[in-house]
Amino acid sequence: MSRLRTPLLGLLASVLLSACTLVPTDPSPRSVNSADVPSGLLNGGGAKKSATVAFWYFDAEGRLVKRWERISTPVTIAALLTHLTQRVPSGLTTALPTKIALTRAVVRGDEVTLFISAGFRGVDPETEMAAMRQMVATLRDTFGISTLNVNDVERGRTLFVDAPAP
Amino acid sequence: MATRSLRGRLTWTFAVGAAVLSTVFASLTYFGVRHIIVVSRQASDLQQAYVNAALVRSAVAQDSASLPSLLTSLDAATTSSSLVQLGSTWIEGTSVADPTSIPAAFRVAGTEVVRQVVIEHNVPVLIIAVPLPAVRATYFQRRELADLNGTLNRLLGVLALGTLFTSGLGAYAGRRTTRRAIAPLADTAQAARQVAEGDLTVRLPANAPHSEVATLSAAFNEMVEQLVLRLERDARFASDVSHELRSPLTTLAMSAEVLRLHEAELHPDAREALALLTTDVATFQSLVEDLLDIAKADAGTDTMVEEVLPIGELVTQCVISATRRHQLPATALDSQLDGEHYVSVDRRRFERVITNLLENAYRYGDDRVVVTLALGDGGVQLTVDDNGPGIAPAERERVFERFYRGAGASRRGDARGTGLGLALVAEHVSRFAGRVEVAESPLGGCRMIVWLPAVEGERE
Amino acid sequence: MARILIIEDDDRIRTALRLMFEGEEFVVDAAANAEDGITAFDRQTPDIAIIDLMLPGANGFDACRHIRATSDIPVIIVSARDDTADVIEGLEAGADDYVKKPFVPRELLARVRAHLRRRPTGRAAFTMGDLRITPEEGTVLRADGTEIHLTATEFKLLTELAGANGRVLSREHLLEHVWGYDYFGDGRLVDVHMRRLRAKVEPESATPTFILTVRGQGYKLVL
Repeated sequence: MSRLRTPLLGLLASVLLSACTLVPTDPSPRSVNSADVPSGLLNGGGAKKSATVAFWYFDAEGRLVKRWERISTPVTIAALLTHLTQRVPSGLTTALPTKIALTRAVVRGDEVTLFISAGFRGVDPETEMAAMRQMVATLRDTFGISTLNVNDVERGRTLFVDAPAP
Repeated sequence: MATRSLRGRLTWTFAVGAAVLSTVFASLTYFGVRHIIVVSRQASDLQQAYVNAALVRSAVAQDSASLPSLLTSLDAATTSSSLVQLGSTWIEGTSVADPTSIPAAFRVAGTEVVRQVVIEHNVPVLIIAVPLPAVRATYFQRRELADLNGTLNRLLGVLALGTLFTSGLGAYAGRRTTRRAIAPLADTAQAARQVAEGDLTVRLPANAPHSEVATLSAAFNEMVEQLVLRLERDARFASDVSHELRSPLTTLAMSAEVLRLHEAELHPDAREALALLTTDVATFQSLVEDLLDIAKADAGTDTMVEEVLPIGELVTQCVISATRRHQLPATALDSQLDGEHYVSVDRRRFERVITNLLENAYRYGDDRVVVTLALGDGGVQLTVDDNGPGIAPAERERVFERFYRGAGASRRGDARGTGLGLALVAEHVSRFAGRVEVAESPLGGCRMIVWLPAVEGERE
Repeated sequence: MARILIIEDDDRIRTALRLMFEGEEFVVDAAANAEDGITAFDRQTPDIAIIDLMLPGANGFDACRHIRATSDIPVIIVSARDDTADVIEGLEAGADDYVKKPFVPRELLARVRAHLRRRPTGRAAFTMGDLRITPEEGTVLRADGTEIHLTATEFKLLTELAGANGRVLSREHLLEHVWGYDYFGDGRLVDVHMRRLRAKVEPESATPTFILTVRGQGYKLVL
């Protein structure tokens, strides 16, 4: 009796086990043979080396003004913030703190969330608000967002601002 | 462990065999189908990812601002969620995707397209990463495979049902097949039982359809033949022995009779010796007669002369004859029958039954023996009671065995039993389709009950 | 004093039989085989004969037939065989009675005495068809005066039936009154003798008109 029952139970158990993980999972990422990937997709060439992007600064009267500048690709939010803090055209000012450090930026639909790890400490709220306005205007033109969230990791708070109409 | 039927075992084996086979096939089917489904799905997802990646690449190259809306529309069109990494910037299509949902191993952008299936909240998710070196970005596509799981679940259910059904079918087929295979065994068992009950004419059909069964039948028939031969030899031996004893016994009996005729001339001691001799010769003679009767009944060579006789007259005559021939005390016969009732018996054998019962009763009883006739159980019941020590319940079955001597030995020094008396009673009564049993007598001793079936009288 | 002829091949049994019957005051002629027995019978004319069926040479049946051919004396056959066909054949050969070995000596003596005793007793003469039967003389005469020979047993059987005046007599009754048996005689004795009797006295023995069989009961004589 048990001689026959054992394999039967084993089979049943294996069927039940396989039912738990219906689709087989992979323990680690698997590479796809590059030959199978459509040609050109993985090629490095062919792309523009630079792009023209609109940056916003404050003029002497404290109004936001747009300046077109050429930057190298890819156009990332980190690159945009670096440009806004370090390449200030003459006659204009920036409200962004020089030490601003971006850990991650996530664009979700028309909303962007910046995870700022340092830079806003000791900045007065007015300047802070000005920096927010400057960033949202720049990101609106580049990434098409309408809301900016700033997650100040250092101080554990989140600021947000809606972009003005262009 | 209780013995299990061979048929049950075979049926079980069939069922298990069917279950194992169908499970193996179901498993092969399942894993095969799963492989095909998963591979084709991954292939189509990869193709979709390539197309999306190409769109993303051109979007990034042209204008990053269109990227979020592109991803949203891609997601809406393909029920997947897309994600683009540009350095530390992550651009998502829908809120479902999140950078943290991409395994860490993926975030290190390589130069190859990679994919992985992971389980998230019990749902399998296929993640594909396509590096886009031209724009120094990486395109991620996540797609839940819950629908695949659903498909596979349904497949599994169908296969499990199929397995169950096949096992049941196997059991049914096993039962059907074994019924036919087992039938000869059942026949053999039935035949063996008949042989055990004494029917030695039973044979199994020799032309069995299968060679194994034919072998079994042949062996069984051979065994019965041997048994018959042996029984015949034994019966003939007993018959021959008693036959050979007849002549010397006749001489012995007559010589004793001659001596008895001249008893008056004998010395008192010799007279006593003659009495002993005469009694034992008589015992010897009844023993040989009993032996012959039994041997003939065993060999089946005796001839019954069955007559339909009125039981009342028959028993009266038998009691008179038995008491006269064997010098037994006058015995009371109490007939509770009204009217004539008939039995079908052989007169000589029936007298032997009565004689043996009476002799037995007087041998062990205390000189009080009552014979009763009554109706009962669709037949006639003849009861012989004595007031002796009786027979212990444990011994009652055995008193009808040949040469069985119970604990209550003979009470009389001068009359020895042959040891065959009651065995012969049982033998004869069974030949009359009756039965005999022992019970306790209200007189305190033993009660022998002989039951005979009543038959229609023949008087016109 | 009655004279008895014993034909028995077994020396010891023959001697025992002789001693027993001599003890009972018989005159005994003993023979070891059928030939000697027949010679002794022709010379001495005994009153009764006891013949063992299993004799060497000419067998017991032959001796039986020889005696029956010339005499009406009772003949008792002794059979050691269980074969009942043997007994029937012996009766057909003319024997009146039989005992089986091993027999109880007293029973054999009783049988012999019963056969010697049963001489026809005082019954009135009667006619049966064209036959005239006179029990006192033991004769059966046809109308033309020729005599029909009946054995003692047959004659006794006929007169017993006649004495019943048409009543049915059971086999048991006939065994008791003709042979001297109690209830446990062999009914075939009656049947065999009845057949022989019919062959002698019935005009057509296959369809008897005087001695009738009543099924399940016995026989009756219709005059």
